[in-house]
Amino acid sequence: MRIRFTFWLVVLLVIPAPLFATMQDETDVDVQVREIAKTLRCTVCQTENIWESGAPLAQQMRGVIRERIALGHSTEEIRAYFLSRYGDYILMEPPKHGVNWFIWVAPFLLLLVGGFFLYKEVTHWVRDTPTPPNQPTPPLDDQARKRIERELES
Amino acid sequence: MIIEIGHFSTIVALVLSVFGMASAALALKTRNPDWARSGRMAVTLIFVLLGVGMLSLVYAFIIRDFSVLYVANNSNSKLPFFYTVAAVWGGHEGSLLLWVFILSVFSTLAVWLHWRTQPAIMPYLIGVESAIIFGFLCLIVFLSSPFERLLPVPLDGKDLNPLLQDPAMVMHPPMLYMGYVGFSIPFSFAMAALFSGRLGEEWIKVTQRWSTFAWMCLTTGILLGGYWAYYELGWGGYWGWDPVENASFMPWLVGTAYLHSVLVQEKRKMFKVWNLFLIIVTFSLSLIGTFLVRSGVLTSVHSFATDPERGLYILIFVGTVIGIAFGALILRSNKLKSQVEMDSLISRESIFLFNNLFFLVAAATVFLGTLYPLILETLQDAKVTVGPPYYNAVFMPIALGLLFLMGIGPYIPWRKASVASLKKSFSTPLLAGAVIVVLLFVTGIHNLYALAGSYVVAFAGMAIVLDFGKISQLYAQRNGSNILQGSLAAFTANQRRYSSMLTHIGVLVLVVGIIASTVYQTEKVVSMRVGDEFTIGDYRMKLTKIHEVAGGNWNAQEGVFEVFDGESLITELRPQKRIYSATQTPTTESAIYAINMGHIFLTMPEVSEDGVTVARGVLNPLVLWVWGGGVIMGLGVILNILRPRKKEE
Repeated sequence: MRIRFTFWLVVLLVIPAPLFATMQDETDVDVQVREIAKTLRCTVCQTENIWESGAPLAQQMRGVIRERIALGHSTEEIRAYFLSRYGDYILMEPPKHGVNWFIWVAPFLLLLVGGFFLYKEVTHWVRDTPTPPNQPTPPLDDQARKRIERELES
Repeated sequence: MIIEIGHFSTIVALVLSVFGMASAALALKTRNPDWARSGRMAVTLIFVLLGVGMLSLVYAFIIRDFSVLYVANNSNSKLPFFYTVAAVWGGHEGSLLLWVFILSVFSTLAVWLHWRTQPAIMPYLIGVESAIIFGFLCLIVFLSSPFERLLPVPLDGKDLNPLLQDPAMVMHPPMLYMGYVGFSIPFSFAMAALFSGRLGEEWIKVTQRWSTFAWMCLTTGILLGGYWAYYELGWGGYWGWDPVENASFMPWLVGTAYLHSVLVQEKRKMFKVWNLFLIIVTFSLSLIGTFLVRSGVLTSVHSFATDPERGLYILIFVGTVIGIAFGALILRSNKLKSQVEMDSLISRESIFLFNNLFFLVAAATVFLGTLYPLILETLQDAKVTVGPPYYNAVFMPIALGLLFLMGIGPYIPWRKASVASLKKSFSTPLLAGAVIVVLLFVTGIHNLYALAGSYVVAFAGMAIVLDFGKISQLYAQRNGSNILQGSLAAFTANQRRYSSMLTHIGVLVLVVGIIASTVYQTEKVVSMRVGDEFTIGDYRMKLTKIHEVAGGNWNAQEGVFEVFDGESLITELRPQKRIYSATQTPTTESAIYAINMGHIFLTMPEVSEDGVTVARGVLNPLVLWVWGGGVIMGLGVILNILRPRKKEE
């Protein structure tokens, strides 16, 4: 009896469901989960964060984030929680401390040092190159223009 | 039986590669042209034999011969026919065979194409190409053979990784390998120049089309891979900075530097050592990339240990190639000292050097980022991740610098630029950049990256348009034709230059696509039932039903979403959640609708038993510009390669 009742109740509830189509939207919690998940690495994938990864582990970790938000933890606290459990590896980028500063600074250092030496070298070459007598360039006359065109086409 | 023929052919090819090296050496020693001729025969036969090897493997895949270990690992009785052929390069062993096969095709082509015009170079070319082929074939024959049998024969194969079961699998790996391998030809010519002491501009001119072709293949391969990842991995991005992508990006960066730097040597006969250095680095990175990816070293130091023989061999081989190449460069460096004549810091040649600096720093950054976790793990036993946030942060300034140089480089004269000419060429572009930034700012774009990027793109684009416009007008005036005919005349008159400018425009379009789709991507994930709706941006998606569909080797739940813009239905999207039967691997198949040069991208990451569906919508504005830019770049490169030969070439 009770089973039959439940059955009909379910049927009655389900049939008009499309009539009450609801607009679904992200909650603030969803957005927060995404923001946190995008900064954490899926430990079983190749450099994928747990937001983008389809791995079951990533799904579990998203669940953990959601639970912690529900418990009232802040974004920083949740990140710190994962950091304490997995270490630096869990972050999508090397944290800026200790030896990791090297990798953050290296590209710009290379650019600066390389640029400096290149600049030095080029100015050095320029100094060593005999300068041709400096004449002001005359404005192009028709003849010169024709010649340029010819050269362009040859 | 067929597979044994392939195996045997490959072994014979290995022997012939030794013969190729020997005959090259003898040709140089005895100066007897017959040795070079027999070397040419060896290279040609290697190509034929490796072709047989490839075909035998293809055949094994077609008849689904699961007694072949490699087939059993990468195919399945239900794998669609189309993919059984692409599955040939679906795993480690087959990819290596494809690599060396393409290498043999290019070697044979190069030997026959340049035989008559470059007789002195031939022995070196044959020797170097045979040596690289030898290195690869040793790996294939002794350590990772795709021809091995499996006993007892399994009833069915393990199946090709479902992510690889895609039309892009047919094109993406071969394109990429053609890029890697294509650089081996200029590399071989460079080595020939070093060994023979013929250090002029000859090798650069002869191989210019080869390098451009290789670059095009590599670019196409990378972009194709990006597009594939985009719709297949289902997170709405096309570039994840993962080690495999980085491995292909590094030779691209240095190869691009090389393509630019050789222009200086062609024009001004300077920087000989530098160009040799660049091509050696480019090809070395191709080798390192292939090997590191293939050996699995990059994922972790520990996967290196799972197959120490392969790893060690790879290390020794790459080390030998790089060692010999750089050794020769150093030994020759005193002979290579060319008189550098530099008239001004503000000159085309100087800009090219700074272009090279930026490209090399970019490559070094990718290299460092890719290997840093490995280094740290080895030295400190600490694990870190170097992911997209890192690269995006450090790459942005470098890329902006490069784009800026791209705007000025082509319009700064050789030798020396006067202040007046600088003003004339760049005042309008600088202004155009400013105007664009103001316009964008007013229309509500306040992101710093987007604004900085737009400035540089507008600047560089304007410089190109302005210059080409002027020249076209000149031609139109002279020929008394309209501006369109004028531009056509200008283009064909200097096809090399303007095809390159077309490629530059492609780069700019691509950059706009990257900026817009990265900075202004919007995303929404909602749980819904049939009948529910959600909105993303201006669009409303309504889930109308979920039903079961089946392919040959997979079953899927497909969601049918109606997409509305306001009240009007614009399309229907059908993302799937697939389960591949052989491996029981789930995949998410995205559904994409292109609108306003962007994409509405929809996936269905989860469907639960009780009918609750997780839908994920992504709006990627202007994402079509990424691949549109790629197509324009490709068009420019093709026009460059097909340009009519000039007298001096």
